[in-house]
Amino acid sequence: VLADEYGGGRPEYLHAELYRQTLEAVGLDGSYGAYLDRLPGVTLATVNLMSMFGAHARWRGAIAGHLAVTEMTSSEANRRYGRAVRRLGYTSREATHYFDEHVEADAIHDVVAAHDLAGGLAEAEPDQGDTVVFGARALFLVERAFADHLLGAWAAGRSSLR
Amino acid sequence: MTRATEIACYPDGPLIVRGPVRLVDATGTRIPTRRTTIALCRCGHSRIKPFCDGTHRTTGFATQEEDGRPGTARADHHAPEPSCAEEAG
Repeated sequence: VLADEYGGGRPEYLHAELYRQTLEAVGLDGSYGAYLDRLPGVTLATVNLMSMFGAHARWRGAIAGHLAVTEMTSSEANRRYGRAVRRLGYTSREATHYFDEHVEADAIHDVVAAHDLAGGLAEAEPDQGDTVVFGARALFLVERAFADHLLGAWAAGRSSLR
Repeated sequence: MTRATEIACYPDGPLIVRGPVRLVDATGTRIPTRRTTIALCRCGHSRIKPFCDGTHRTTGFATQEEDGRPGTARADHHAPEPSCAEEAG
């Protein structure tokens, strides 16, 4: 999974680089953290949760469960994102590559993260099993709060940003 | 010593190929991939065949294990029902 995220060693395929290209292709600022100050806490919580699990060894089960659910739900979402940017007229490779790449890459990461990584950890360290499930459920909780905020703003005709 | 290329059958999911392979179509023309690990569709519904795109999750695709070995696909899974929103795209 990491090898893919880092472009298999090729800087031009680094996923962060693909996303920078996508942002700029749709007319947004692609520099690092450009929109950070405009994101509300409920949105930042989704990445903070991942960082917190990832930064502490005692939460290794939780980050495995979190990653598994992230990857298991990613291919279909990226397929829709890819279709959405095309529908909006952004059909260049720069605009669509990040999403197209994740349809294929995350179909692989899906089974690797769920079976080998999260399943493998629970098998090797059975006492981590509950923590794996906790990480997965925590992701659903914060993502639900984020989605409610985003869709609520959309329905009300206002921005979800600060 | 090099390890043999491995094809792993994942339950209710794709075939994961780990290691160098030459992927070609029926005429022998190479299908490009730059990954060393690839997922091949086995539910039949992927939109990026021969690669998996995760569509098996939405079609109820299921494999059956027999004698502890990874099984073949059951025939009773359903084709995806495209929603209005999807078709409008």
